[in-house]
Amino acid sequence: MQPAVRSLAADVGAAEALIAAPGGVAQWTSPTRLAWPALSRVLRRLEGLGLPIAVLVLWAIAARQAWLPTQILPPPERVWEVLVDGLAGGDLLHALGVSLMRVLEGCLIGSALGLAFGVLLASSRVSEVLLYPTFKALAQIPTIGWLPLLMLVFGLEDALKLVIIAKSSFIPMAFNAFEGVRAIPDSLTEVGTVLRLNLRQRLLRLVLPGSLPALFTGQRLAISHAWKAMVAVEILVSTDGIGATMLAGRQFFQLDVVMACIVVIGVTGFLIDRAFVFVERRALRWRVAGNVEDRS
Amino acid sequence: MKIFARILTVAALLVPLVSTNAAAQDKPKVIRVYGQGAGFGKPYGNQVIGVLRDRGLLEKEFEKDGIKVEWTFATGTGPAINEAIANGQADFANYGGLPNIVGKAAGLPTKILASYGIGNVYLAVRANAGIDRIEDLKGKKVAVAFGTINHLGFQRFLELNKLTQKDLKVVNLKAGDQVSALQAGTVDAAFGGSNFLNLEDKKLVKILFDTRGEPSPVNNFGAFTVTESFAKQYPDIVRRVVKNFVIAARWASDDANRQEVFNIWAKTGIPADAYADDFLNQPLRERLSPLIDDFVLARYREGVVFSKEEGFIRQDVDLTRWIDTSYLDAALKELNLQNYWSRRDAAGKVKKG
Repeated sequence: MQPAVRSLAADVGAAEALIAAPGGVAQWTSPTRLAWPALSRVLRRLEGLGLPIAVLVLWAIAARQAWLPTQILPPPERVWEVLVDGLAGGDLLHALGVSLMRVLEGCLIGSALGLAFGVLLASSRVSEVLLYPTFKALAQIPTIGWLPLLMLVFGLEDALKLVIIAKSSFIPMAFNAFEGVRAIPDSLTEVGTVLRLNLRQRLLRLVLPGSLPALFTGQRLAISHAWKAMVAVEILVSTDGIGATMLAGRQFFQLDVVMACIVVIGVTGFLIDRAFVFVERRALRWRVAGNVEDRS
Repeated sequence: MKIFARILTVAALLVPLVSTNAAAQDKPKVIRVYGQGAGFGKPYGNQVIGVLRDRGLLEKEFEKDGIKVEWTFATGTGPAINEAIANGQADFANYGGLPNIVGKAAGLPTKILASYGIGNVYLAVRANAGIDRIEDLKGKKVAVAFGTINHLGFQRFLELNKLTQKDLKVVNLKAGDQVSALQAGTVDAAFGGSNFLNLEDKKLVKILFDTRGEPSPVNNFGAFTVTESFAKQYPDIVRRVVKNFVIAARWASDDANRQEVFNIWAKTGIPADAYADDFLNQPLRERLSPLIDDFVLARYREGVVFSKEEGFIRQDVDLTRWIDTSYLDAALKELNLQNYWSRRDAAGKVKKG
């Protein structure tokens, strides 16, 4: 079987990843790359750090020169201290753990449902006609827009946060699963019919390999959406977790805590995404060479 | 690079110009006053600051000088006022003791001029939450707005009842959200201000605890403050503002004006009846004294110790350098009101003599 098809969604995902990759757009050749291949490889990895370092330097200067009051813009070393204390002392680490568990649980539920829903939509015209418009319309409402309503139904406890996070990962997963399955060419589906594949064989040998890149894109978007939804919901309805720590930081006028939380949220989100790309590359290694390589 | 250098040079040349200009001026164009608001309803003040605003005393005082008065009642209450001060958007700020302390400890250049009076706190429980006594709170979900003065009162209340935050499920909710959360049954109780009296009238909540009557350590407290730079630059303006603050406090403390005072405060959205209930059998002047007496000092001292214990603040706060009653004392003398309000001891009992 030759699953040579890539869905549109997967392409978009790849392009996104390419742009976000360290070193920027692939065509651009850094001068360092020409002379010393080994050195240039190291530098290439570090090029993406250029912007963060520039921001850091600007921040340090701004804090030192007091362009903004120090209560509003604490110096980076102060934020670093809070970060180290919080991670070593366990407060930040604990909050992060709570939030991570929440995201994993919510994302697992949301993506599983999203996958099933997407496949269902794609596999039958009837379900598409009946469900797709509604799904599309509901997907337009930002997850947080549901909060006032869901608060009344689920209260302020974990259930509410799980529902919000699951919902935010459900949409991209369902959408990509739908697109991925839809993009399997009719010729392959027909071959499947000729070979009289049963449902199980069909799913495992045709649908799954054919839509896998799209599913990965969906999953990657799902976890990223879940992560962002977690931060939002924890800030709005907070008892614990990293979002709640951030809100309390603001209420106690400790902007260094707020910024430390922003760093933790950003870095963790980035690492999750990296881990995902790593898994994706390994999982899709069997595919035609060159298709996945550029997606780092 | 050249352009950058040029900009720097121009800026360096301008700096002395700007600062000498400022020093030469003996009056500001505008006086920016921040009030704590109520965190819900309409942004209008209660307590002395609400009366000061409603009676237009500052506007009248500074009309002849062509100085405008700008009022902001922050919906984000105290924590938002700290941000406004840090951003240089406020000259005077009237807000609660805990955000006061938190802001000062973070290095905000404020000076305490007068007490903003003391307020009551209420513990409202949902009608069918099965909470009849304070002990029943164990394991229940209780909402309080973190970082506000109610948060400090809440901690004091727990301490007095031999409870800790860990015995309850404490939820950080703003005042407005507390009301909807109580109504929706998503929390069992909430700790806040007199706005709960309104809900009690509608039989939605029961008031299980409150500080009505004699002043107690659980009461809300706070201060009328000025930024150090404003006080340094315009001491005479500060003198006149404080004088009018005291005039407003005097007027608001007069029980002859009782109904009118409640009507002014009703502009926040809390009905006048709720205020009448809040002040039941209590002379106004017991709660609206601008004096920084031993009672207020003790509240601030406790607040600092507590905030440090809880990790809300990291630096100590030197109260003697923070509080400057010279303007207040002068105003009391000028208006011959030295003996109008009684001085209380640390526990809130009126001192004799």
